[in-house]
Amino acid sequence: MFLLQLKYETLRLLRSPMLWLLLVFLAVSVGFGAYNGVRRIAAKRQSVGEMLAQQQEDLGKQKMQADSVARGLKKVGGWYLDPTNVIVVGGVWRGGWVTAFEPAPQSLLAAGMSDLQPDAWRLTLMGKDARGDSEFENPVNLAFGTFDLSFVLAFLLPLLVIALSFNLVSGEREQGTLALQWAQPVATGRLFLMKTLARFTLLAALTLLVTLPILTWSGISLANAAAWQTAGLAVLYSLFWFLLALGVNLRGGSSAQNALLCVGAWLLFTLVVPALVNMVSEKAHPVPSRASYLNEMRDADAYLEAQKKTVLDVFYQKHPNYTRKSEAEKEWQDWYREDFAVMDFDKKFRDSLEQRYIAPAESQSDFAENLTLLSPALSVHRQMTDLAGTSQQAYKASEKSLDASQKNWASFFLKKFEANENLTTADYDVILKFPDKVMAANVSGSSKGAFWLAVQCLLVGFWAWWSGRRLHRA
Amino acid sequence: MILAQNLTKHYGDKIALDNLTLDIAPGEIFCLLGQNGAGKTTTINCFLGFTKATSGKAFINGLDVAKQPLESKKHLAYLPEVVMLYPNLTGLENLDYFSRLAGFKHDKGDLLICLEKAGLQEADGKRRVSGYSKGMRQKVGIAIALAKKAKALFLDEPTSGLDPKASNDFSQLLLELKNDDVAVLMATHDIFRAKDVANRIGIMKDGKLMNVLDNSGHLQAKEIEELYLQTI
Amino acid sequence: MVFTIANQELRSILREGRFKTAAILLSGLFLLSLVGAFDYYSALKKQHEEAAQTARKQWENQEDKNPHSAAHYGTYVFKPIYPLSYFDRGVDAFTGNTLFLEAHRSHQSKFKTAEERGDFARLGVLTPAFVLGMLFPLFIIVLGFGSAAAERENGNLRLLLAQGVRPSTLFWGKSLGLWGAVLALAIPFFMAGAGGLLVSGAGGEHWLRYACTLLLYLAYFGCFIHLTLLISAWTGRQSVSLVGSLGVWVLICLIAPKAAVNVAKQQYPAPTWQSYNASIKADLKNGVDGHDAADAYTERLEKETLQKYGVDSVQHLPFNWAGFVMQKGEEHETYVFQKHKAELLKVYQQQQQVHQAAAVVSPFVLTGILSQRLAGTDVDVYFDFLAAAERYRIQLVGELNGELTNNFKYGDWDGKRGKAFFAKNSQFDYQPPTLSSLLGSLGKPAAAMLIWLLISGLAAILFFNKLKPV
Repeated sequence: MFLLQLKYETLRLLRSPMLWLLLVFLAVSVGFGAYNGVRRIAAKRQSVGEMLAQQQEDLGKQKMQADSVARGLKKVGGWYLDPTNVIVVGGVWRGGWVTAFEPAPQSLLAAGMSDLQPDAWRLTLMGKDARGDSEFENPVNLAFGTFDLSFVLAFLLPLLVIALSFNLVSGEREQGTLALQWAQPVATGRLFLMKTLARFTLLAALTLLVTLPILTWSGISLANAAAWQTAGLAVLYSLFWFLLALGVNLRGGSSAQNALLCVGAWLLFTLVVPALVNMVSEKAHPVPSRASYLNEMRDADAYLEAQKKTVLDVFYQKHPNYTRKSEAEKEWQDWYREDFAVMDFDKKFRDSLEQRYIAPAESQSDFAENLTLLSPALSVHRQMTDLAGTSQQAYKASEKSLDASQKNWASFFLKKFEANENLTTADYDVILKFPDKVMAANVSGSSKGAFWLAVQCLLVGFWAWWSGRRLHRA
Repeated sequence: MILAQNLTKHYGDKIALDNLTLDIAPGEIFCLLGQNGAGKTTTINCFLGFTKATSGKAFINGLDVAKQPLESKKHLAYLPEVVMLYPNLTGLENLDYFSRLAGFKHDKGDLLICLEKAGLQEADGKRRVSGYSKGMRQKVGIAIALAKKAKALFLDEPTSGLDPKASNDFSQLLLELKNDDVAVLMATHDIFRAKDVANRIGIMKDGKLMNVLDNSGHLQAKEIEELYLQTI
Repeated sequence: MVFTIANQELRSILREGRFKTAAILLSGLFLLSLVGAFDYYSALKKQHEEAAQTARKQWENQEDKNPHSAAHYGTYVFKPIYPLSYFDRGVDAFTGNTLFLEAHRSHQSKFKTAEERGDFARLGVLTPAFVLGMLFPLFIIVLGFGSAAAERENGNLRLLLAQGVRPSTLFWGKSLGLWGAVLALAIPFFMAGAGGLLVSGAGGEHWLRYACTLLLYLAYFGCFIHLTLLISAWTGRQSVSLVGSLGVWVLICLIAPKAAVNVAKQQYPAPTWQSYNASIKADLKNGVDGHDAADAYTERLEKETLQKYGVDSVQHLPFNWAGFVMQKGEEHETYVFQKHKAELLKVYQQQQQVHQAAAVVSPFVLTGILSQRLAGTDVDVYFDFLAAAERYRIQLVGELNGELTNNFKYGDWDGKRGKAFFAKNSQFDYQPPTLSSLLGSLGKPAAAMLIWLLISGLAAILFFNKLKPV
């Protein structure tokens, strides 16, 4: 029975010009979305490559100079120009080490936050600062968003599914074939089940047919789990919309009514609910503007200056080997030693200030994420950005791993600083090999999005079943 | 073959069928006349199991429709008023699909024979139904009945929208089925056609079978019309 | 006759269940968006104003120090928040909120609101512009997709034509009827929208801007009315008409803007971080456009100045050479910064042209451009703010260097200035461009909008004429 339904559903669909139109449209969209993703990754790789290549080149030259200086062949104008100087190379205002995010092939799936977040960080002895092409991105581009695969999947795929299922039952009823089928010796329940299964199998096959080849072509090989995860997500998402269309059909309305309801649901879930979720989370956890943050930081500077003496008192007590000099006598080593001494205290204080701005932002985004259940489009978006490693969380996780990197970098130089050593060419060789790339983290295989999508499928499936029961009873 | 015993159907307060009793033997054509809403379609729906009777029984070939719905459907065929079929499939494919649903796995040759018997040329049978006239679609419907070897045939307003030639073709087809011992229950407004093919003509009003006329004699169409007008 | 048809069309629309449901939903969303957006706007405005005041206070109350140290202490300026931004947030969330001004450096603005929010924030914000721009057209489609097609399908068209109704009259009648339904909702919306202006107490020009925005949206709705009628007449079948209209909406409102972004980025890529900063460094080092490299320039300047004042060493100049040379150096560097900023802006403008080209396909893009420009939340205003901030930076640093030049002895780095001096420094007072100055840049898109309206109308009439009654 299933095969019979499958055969004829396939024949019917393949012969309808509407299907071909929609398939072509979807294929073109998926293709365009994937293409944009590929270009985006290529651009990022180039940008990052430039930065890192320049770094290698500059440090290479610097290494030669350091060699000359060490041999006494070259004189430097001041300690701050000395390439063997630990502070100069380790970096505070200048120097330091640039570590960049390397996009994985599946990064093409979703642009996510990649156009707003930094591409690289410069690690210094005191911390890190961000750099990236997002500083130069045209705000209009950021505002419109980008045509990526995630957009196609979340917004356009449902339209295909709706177009092919909105008149599943109503169309047959209006055609008279429903009555004809009921007049045959088949249990209506079984007939109906097989028909819907067949229709969905077709839809799923079409979805896979469109997505997998394009994914492979754009660089996510079939060996990469991400390809299958994306395809699976697409099929699951199709299931949601299919079940929705089914439920709408089982209300017993006309094809025109069904179409309006399905499209209304699409509008609700893809446009209205996300906008409402954002509004509600903004209201529930308003984030103070960074404008006041900066002023607070300034006041913090004054406070920290005042505290400096106390902190230094403790430091000099602990390290009697260092002599505390007066302002006039201090040399650069003394200045920086003191800076390093108060560094942790400063950082703690500033971080606690910053928390007042970061914490509400995190609460707001957590609150919004808890509302993922309200729309399958949200689930898909979440899963795609997690897969691509371009979600806000992925960036935060990457940043954390960079903090560890920064500590390594700093400790290498601080040790030498305390030992009053200068950098040798051997040291430069070590430095040049320091890891300069970080794979944009796949939030350790997070599948929260897929989970919520499955829940949503269950809920809508239940609604469809309940719809059917109501119709049956009537 | 087609038997209704005190078939009654209530929709809330409305009485759609009121103790309808009907017996149609194999090879007999029974035409049901009546106004819209008189209960013709409801009667057919009861036999097809689309509606559950409030009381009374319906039998197809001795099988109780209510108790053995699937079995009874094996013996009947149905031609609704609006027979659209699947427009993207050919007549042949439509026939194949419905036959298989009925449990018959005919090969292409057999199906073509059925179509031919129903009056559809092979060339037409291989064209998509979207290009068919109503008459042609009906022929596919008949072919479905033939392929099923159904012994009871239910027709709902089959000649509405057919031009005189197609209507005539249809009459011929019915007479052939009659010769094959198929029992036919036909709901219609077409008094002329009823006169042409029916063994008996029943006039329904408000769910009741008011009058049953014997068509074997010399009743003229005009007389039938007058009786109809009197009855309703 | 037109009015008869219009009347009938309007009445049948208003009586449909669809209208009531859609109207209630849309109104609810609009009011919600209005309240929410206004709330957000007033909070943000307050924060920025307070921050600006605090920044000034901090400047004035900074520790007594050398003017040049003050030039490095720097100050912050904050992006202004405009009265109509509650209506259309434009690119606000994607432009930096803060800008640090100091000597020798021209910083990029920092802290875009969007970069600190969660992933979902990119999926759409509920503002009145969103409701009017994206959702209202759907309302029009839902009400109007039937019009011509239904008449044809249920045979009324034949009756109408037999009564002597000309197809173009039918079009005008249906169009007017649809307008009636649209205005029934749009007018209350517009009135409610004005509430924001009333509450915020913004001045006269903003009312004019708001009025222009309303006209803009009316023209936009007109385009969709024409499109819906066009598709209805063209397809002749309700089901196909609905699918077609929805497809067109998806193309116009969802696909076109995004696709335009990708095409623009591909055609006119912005510089990478590396290339931008590297070329600035190179220009500073090597000199550019007839401006010598820093050292060479300083040498030349020194020689010229000594000659001009007829002295043989800088100590003997009647002013502090250190201050003087720093200011000159600042101007010299600024030239390089401006050059590169201008090149970047040129890239943005080329990208904008691609976006505007998308307007051929999408009146939504056009409406966005115009609405943002009128609300003061478009990119141009933001760049204008940045330019003004840069001018202020030069001015402020100039004042500081000037103090150093004129009132300090050469070699004196210990002299300090305090609150008395700093309070006298100029304040940053940014005035956004007035509506009249915008008229030039508004002209072309506005004309494009009218052309869209005209052509869609003509095409609709064309298809009404071709409507076959059978």
